[in-house]
Amino acid sequence: MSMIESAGQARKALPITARVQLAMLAIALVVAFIFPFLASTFILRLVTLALVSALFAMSVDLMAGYAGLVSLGHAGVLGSAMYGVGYVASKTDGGFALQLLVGFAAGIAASVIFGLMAMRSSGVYFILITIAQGMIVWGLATLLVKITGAENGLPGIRRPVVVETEFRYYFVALIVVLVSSVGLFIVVRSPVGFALKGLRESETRMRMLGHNTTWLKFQMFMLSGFFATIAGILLVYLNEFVNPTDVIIASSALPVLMSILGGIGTLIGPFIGAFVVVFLRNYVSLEIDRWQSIMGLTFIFVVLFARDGLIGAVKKHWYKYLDSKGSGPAALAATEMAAPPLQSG
Amino acid sequence: MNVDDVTVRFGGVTAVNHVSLKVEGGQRWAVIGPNGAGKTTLFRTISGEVFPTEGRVELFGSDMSRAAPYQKAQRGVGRTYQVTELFKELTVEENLIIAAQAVTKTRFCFWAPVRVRGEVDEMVANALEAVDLTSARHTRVADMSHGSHRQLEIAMALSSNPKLLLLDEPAAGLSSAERRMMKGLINGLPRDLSIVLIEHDMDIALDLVERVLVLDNGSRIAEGDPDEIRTNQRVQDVYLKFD
Amino acid sequence: MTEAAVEAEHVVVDSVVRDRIRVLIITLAIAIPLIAWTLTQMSTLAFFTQILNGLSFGALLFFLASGFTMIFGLMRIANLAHGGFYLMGGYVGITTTLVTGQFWLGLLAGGLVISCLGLFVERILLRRIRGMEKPEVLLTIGLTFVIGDFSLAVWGGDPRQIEKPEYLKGAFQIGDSFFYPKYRLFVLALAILLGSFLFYIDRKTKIGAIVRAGVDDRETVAAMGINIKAVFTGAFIFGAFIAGMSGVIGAGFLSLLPGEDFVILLFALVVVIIGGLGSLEGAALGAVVVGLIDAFAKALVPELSFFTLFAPMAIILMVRPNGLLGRAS
Repeated sequence: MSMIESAGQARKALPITARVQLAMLAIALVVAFIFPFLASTFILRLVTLALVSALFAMSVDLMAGYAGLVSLGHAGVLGSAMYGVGYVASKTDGGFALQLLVGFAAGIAASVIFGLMAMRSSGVYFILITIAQGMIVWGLATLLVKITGAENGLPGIRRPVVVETEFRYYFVALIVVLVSSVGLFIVVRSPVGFALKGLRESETRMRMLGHNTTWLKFQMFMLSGFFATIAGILLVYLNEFVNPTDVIIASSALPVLMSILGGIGTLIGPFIGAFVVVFLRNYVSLEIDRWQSIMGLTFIFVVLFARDGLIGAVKKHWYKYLDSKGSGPAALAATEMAAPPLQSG
Repeated sequence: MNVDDVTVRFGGVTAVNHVSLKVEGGQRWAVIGPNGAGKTTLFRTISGEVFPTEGRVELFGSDMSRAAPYQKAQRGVGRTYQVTELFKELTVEENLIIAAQAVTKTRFCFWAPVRVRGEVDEMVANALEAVDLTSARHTRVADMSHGSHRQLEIAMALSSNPKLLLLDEPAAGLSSAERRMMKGLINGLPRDLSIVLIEHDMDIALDLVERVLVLDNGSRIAEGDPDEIRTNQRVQDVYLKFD
Repeated sequence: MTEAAVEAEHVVVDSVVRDRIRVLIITLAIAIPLIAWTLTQMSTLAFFTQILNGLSFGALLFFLASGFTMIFGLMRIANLAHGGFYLMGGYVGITTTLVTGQFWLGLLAGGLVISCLGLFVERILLRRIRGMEKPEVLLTIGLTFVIGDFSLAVWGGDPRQIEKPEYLKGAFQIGDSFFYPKYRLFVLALAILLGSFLFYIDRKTKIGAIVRAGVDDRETVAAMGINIKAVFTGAFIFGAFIAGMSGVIGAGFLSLLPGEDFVILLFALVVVIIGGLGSLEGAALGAVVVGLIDAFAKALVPELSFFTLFAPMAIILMVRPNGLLGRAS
């Protein structure tokens, strides 16, 4: 079989999936821009929160899903950005620009420190180190009263007047999250994104191929930290408040849960997972006051029975459907394998 | 490459005992010996996964005894594994892209998609051609046969344009037809590429190379061209003892 | 063993010893100026009080970290539920002591209830995902949330302490003017006891040999006539037992309250990260270091007491990614 034929077949198979994906994306975008005119402020706020959570979850999934390095302390980065904004807004008379600047600087600084600490580790050790990192940010948040206000948090954070209403802020969040998602989309398709996937599969092999995996992991931390910082800044202006509950370990575990629930190692997975978790949390909390248990049990359930998440389940059925029509990946692989190169040569 | 009087010890075990190996540019060597003779450890020392306890490893004119594997790979050492270690969830092409970009500047790039990078594309295409896997370009590695894995293993090492290729039992687990194919494939590699080959199977090894080093229990017991080795009494003894 | 092998063994032992000595020298080089500075900040008496505070807190951390590190060494499971085990064990102990009036019964009950929980977790949950490192860790963190919420529902959100027996109340007098709480000395003694016991198991028994080998070769283990699954379950239950008991012990001089599960987990993690995951000596060394740092930081720079944990951990990780006494991966 020649290369042209096989490439042609691959191209024929792609459009079906790609067309469906594009159609769904278009519908989602239309809905995203139209529904705020119909929804209540309450729902609007919830969706904004889901969008911001989605960005945060995607930044965590860049590490957990693509590189296979699960961080359970990423709320430390998110929270540093939040506290950076909050400190300027609440303790000084710095304007919006300075708030953004300090927020960014704090988030990036946290990423650098976290990255330097964790870049030489992997597997379980990596998880433990990141937990400790996140917890220590929490510890500082509760103890540095003069800077963080401890349990009382930092009040007095205000959005700029132009985007003061929930309605307008929704569009700010939507656009920032969309642009960031495109950014993440580019990252995972870039050479670095590919290298991260290699890291997930085998770090030793990566080193043998000439990749400096330590540097790669630092780079990953910076990229992920950059998007987590953006999420943190969006979140602090959404809540107009920050306190230590924003950096407890549950806040770090949530994006991991969102990623696995939606489908780890994809970008759309964390997005869907974030919406599911945010809405679940809100409606469950209305009924019973046991969110922590629900979250813990969801974690256990997902880890035991649904590690591929919603996207994984959808993909499986979609490919099965395509295969039944003779154009799925298994069918394609079968035709390619029909002439194994070893025998044909 | 020059391995100069290298000794490697793990715990109480001496895996490689004062072994020297000097490979000139374009030369093809085989390292043979029974299981546990220290072949793989010698390889790991050359590639940087293990540091020598004593002695030096020189590569392309400079001392790299303590260089990390990725530094050696950057300088032009390619290596395959006895147990294929591929990125199983990715496609053949993705595997090769990851391998090829390791030695190019593009590996730092996170702002542009992989596809538009011409240099890497060319390296990938060349490697695919060299091992005759072009038709399986978009197949997921986990869906391929063991023989194809072996071919891809070599392509991975080739795709970074190495100057020195270390092949660790490239024919392990292959049928006899596949072995013949693999032999042809290795024979067809560019002549300016230096190759060091580990092989348990003497017949394959000796047909492919100009020089042979025989190890047993971590020590050198013979060295010479294939014909000398075939008739060497000590080598025969060692092999008879184990087979 | 041949002569060459014996000689080689010596070389290896030498290199390990040299490595340990280097760690010791660097530790001392950092510790001595720090101690000197500390002495200028407080009286000698206060200094010794803080040393004992640090050691007794370190003793508590050693209870947790040793179980954590043992389970990891044997099964490659990082059991994050250890913090939850600690908290719930402590609560069970408090209730039992309240009902029976016996501190020792509380201690036992805390350990036993958590052992049962451990048995359930290992047999029913973790066994389904054996060998999958990351799912295992994520499952145990989910479990911690459930345990924490359950404890909140049953025991409420107020800080709780355990009723200590008469003979452990009050202070112990050393010399004319030095008083120190008896209870903390008791904790210290208990930790030394447990430490000796664990070191004995580690060094002198078959199980210890398996733990140290990191179970690389299951067939060999099976050939030694050991049922590895039973060993796993046993080790997990034992680790859970120590964790539950340490909750009761901790309830004697710290307070138990929601959130404490993650705080104590953080300390235990820093201990094993600094000491080296899977190493018992590492857990002991880490516990002492973290306990002392925490005690002095709380006395001298209370606002920064978490940061003082962070900084040494960061430095150690940059120099020795596997911890002070960890095996190279």
